[in-house]
Amino acid sequence: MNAYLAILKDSFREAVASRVLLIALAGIVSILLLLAPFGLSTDKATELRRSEVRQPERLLTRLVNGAEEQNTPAAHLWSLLNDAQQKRARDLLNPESENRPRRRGGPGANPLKRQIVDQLNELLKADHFYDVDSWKDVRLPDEASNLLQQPGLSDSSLQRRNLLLLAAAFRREIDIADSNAISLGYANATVIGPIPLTPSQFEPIFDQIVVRVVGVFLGFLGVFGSLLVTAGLIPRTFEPGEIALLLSKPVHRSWLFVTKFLGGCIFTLLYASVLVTGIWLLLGIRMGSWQHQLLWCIPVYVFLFMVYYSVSAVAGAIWRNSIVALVLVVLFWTGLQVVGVTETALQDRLVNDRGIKEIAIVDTGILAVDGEQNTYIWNAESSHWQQTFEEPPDSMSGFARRFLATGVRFAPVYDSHSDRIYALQLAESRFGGFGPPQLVTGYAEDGWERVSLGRVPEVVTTVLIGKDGRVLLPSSQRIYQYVGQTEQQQRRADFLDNITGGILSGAGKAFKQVQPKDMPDLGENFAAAINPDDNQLLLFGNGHLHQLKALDDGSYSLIQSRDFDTDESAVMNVAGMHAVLALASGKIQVLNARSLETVHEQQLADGVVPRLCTAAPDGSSLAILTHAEDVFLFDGSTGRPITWHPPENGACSAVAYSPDGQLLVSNGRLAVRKYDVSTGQRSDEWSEQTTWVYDLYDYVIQPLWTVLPKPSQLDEFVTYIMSGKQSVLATGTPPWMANGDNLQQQRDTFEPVPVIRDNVIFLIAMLCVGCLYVARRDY
Amino acid sequence: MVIAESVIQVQDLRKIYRSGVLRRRTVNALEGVSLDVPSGQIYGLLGPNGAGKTTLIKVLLGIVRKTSGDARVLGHAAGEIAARRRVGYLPENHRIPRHLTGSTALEYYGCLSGLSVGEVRRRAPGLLGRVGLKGREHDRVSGYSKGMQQRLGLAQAMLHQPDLIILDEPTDGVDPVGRKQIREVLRSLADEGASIFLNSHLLQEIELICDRVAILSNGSVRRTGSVKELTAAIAESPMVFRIRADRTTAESCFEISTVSKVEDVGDGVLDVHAGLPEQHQVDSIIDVLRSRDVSLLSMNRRDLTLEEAFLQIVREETA
Repeated sequence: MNAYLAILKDSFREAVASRVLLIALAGIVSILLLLAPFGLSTDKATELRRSEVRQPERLLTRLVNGAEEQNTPAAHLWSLLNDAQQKRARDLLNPESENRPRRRGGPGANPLKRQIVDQLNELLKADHFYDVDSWKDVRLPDEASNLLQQPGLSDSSLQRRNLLLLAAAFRREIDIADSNAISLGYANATVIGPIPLTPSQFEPIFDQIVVRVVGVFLGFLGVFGSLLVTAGLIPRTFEPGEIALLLSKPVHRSWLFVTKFLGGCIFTLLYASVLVTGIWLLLGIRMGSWQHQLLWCIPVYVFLFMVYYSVSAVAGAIWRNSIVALVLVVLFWTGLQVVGVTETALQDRLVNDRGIKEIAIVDTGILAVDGEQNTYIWNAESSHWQQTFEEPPDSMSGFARRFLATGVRFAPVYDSHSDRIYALQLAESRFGGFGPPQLVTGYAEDGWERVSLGRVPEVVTTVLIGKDGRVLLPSSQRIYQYVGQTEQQQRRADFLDNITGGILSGAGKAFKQVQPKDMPDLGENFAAAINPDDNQLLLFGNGHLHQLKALDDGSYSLIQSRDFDTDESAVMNVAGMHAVLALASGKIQVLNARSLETVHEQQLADGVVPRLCTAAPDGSSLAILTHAEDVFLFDGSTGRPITWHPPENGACSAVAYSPDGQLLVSNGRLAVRKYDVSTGQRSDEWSEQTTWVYDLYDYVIQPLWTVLPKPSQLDEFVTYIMSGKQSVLATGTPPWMANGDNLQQQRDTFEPVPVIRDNVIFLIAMLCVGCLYVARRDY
Repeated sequence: MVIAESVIQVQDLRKIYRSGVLRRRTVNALEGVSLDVPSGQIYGLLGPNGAGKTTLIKVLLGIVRKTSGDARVLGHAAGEIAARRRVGYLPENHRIPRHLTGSTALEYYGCLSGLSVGEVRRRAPGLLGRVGLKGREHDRVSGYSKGMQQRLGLAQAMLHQPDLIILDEPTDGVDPVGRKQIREVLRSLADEGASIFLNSHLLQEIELICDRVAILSNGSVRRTGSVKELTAAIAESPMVFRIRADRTTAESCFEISTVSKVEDVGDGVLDVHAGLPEQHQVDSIIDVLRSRDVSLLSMNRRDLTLEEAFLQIVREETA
């Protein structure tokens, strides 16, 4: 042991003696010293942030309407605007105006909100923002009242007071989520401030920035810099004059190689330790953010280096040439990148874009929806999926739909009474951004031609069909029933929808409110299901499960609620005697559909997040599909789990039931298979012949990707460590669309174990090759 | 300290180097070497370039794997860790890492040999003084001359007080004063009971300090023995005729091809060195000298120098 410690110690000496290390360390210290004056300060918010304006259109409308009012906050604020500003505000609401904001920044951007917020923030600086008569009917928060009593307020206190007054006057439109604002300073100067994000919004972004900074300095510069410096370490050791001397000592050749390899890692360990500890101290001391998990970056990046260095070490031992060792590492890295990028691109195209994500059985066949929300019907004659229920040609691209429309599940629901399908389609607002979805339908007899039934008055996420064919659309606070409208009403609705840009839905008459008077607030992320036996509704939101009974007049009354003591979102379904509720944490509860009592509980593996629940129409079984593409089945009569799983488990991208209670699953590609759950036998299959690109992916790229190590995924590992979340929203989801609690949105599930395992296997394999070679070679 | 009768025992040792993509090209480096090195002696290994000397040493230390045969070092199979623990080795053209100083290099190699850092630090000053590196122990090895590196290499080989020290060209690059110093060190080590196995091209070096010598040529041992035994008069040794005659007469008496040297020793006396391995050749020369009235003052066979013995043995091999 003494001998091997001596080798490690010598490597340390060599690293210290290396000028490169000193230069690198000096560089790191200089950068840290440059970064040291940066600091975050938290003050009371004095400006309105865009994310705090919940309903910009309504806010603007109220302000403009202030022109007609007296002694209201809206009237007073309107009077504070000069003529040009008033004209501009009116223009913003007028769809025909040339000054109306154009959408910039891609789908989902909301320039209207930006302009309103900018204008209001200007107003907040005004001394005479407050008017006693105008605010006399407004309930003010204590802080605002206190500020109103203080004479001679500073500019920032004045702005703070005005902000509170504004929020109090427009409670529905503005929600001040956090009373604090963050500013970024350098030494004593403010660089950016206040940042237009709440502290809770800023925190994950800040973590991401830290991860990226560490990633760039360690993952790229650090690792490749270290490889450059250490590339010569092993070739030098195995030079004839040195190796003969070493091998004459009482040491094992293999251990000599391994110890020299570990010695090379000391360089990176030093580099990583100084950098990460420096950043950790800076964040802690200067920004008050002691992120201890950041220290995990040290072993992670040393491990990343070890994976690459193992290639360099083996090449160095064989060819005893540092240039060859370095070139081979670069080739290895390039090869991994090429395979990785190809794998990602093909998976995106073949699985995420084209793979079947939803299945619906209709009287005349089977429908499938792919990742880009295109709908297909199976053509038995040509044995392929034929596009149907198409969107109008001017709608957004499939790519945009995949990333942006994921909040609304595009899942056609079949109504056998009228032989047609319903679905919710994401609809862009005229001013940019997305408003409530449109209800669309298609009749079998019309060849499933897509027809809009109008924009739902509120954001809804599910279409529920009752046993009598009723179409229900639950929102967070209401339940709408689609009752249809006359052609004249439809035309009027389209007109109103057009001129208000979707602010006011003209289709209001088509959607009748049927919620109970004591309808609970379900929150933003809720789940809803209808029992096909008796039209009973189950609604889950804000940790409560509510049971609603259908009355004879079509409305609903609340029967009972159960508190689950959780703030998690969930997916849910009900059929027959049982309901199944799957929480975001992977906790599954099978409930008695009548009493809501739990009859069975199960916990999915760590990090496995449920995506959807479905139930057999006859109530014989229920299925949960997870984001890990596994299906879990439960017996509809006993509530117990069914041990049989479809063979597609692990790659199952869609699940549904046929009317006779058989399970339909998709293999993640272009095939749908039908299984009898009681026997596990496959009874039918709809599978399109795949092209050579699929073969390339299946037989070349994916096996290669499976076998090869994935050092690049260690970056994701760091993100996982920092966030502590295994399942995150799909890469590329725009932040303004991201809703981490929405289980229906596409997710990337990070599996830390395979990443570590694959890299460890590769590392061990490379070291074994190196040891074997060194042990057998004559020097 | 366990002292074996023989520190090195080699029996029919063979080593074939293979090269090429299919490893079809072969070089027979050792072809049945048998050798017995007694303990407590300085044993020299001589041989022309490519004779297999370094290969033999590397096989003994396990740096190169033998193809067949048997080799034992200090009673252990060659290359075993137990054997290497009791061996000190100075390779030819060794390279001590350049970032080390004299003392840190000793610490490094001492620890590799199983010593503790404290033990190394205790032994190092005396040892560095013994090899003539006192005062330079804190200098970087990168600043050492070739000779200083050899001295440091020798110091590391002696550091753990091994029973057997194997030296491959220890005086390579060392000045004459240094060589003498090294010879004295080796002699004192032998006097202390250590066995030394020395491979050197410098025949004079071997002749001066080795108790026994083995001559290796073309992968096999041609001759072993003490220096005296190897250089003792043999039939192939030149005959020295001391005659009273002038140079012309003398040259006419001998076949020119047999004469290697004619020395004038004064007073008209010449020493003629002639290679006459057969007795009848000697008889006929005597007849010729008598017939020409040349006085033969003395006649004897001279001892070979080690170089002559070595060349003769190698020449025989080539023939």
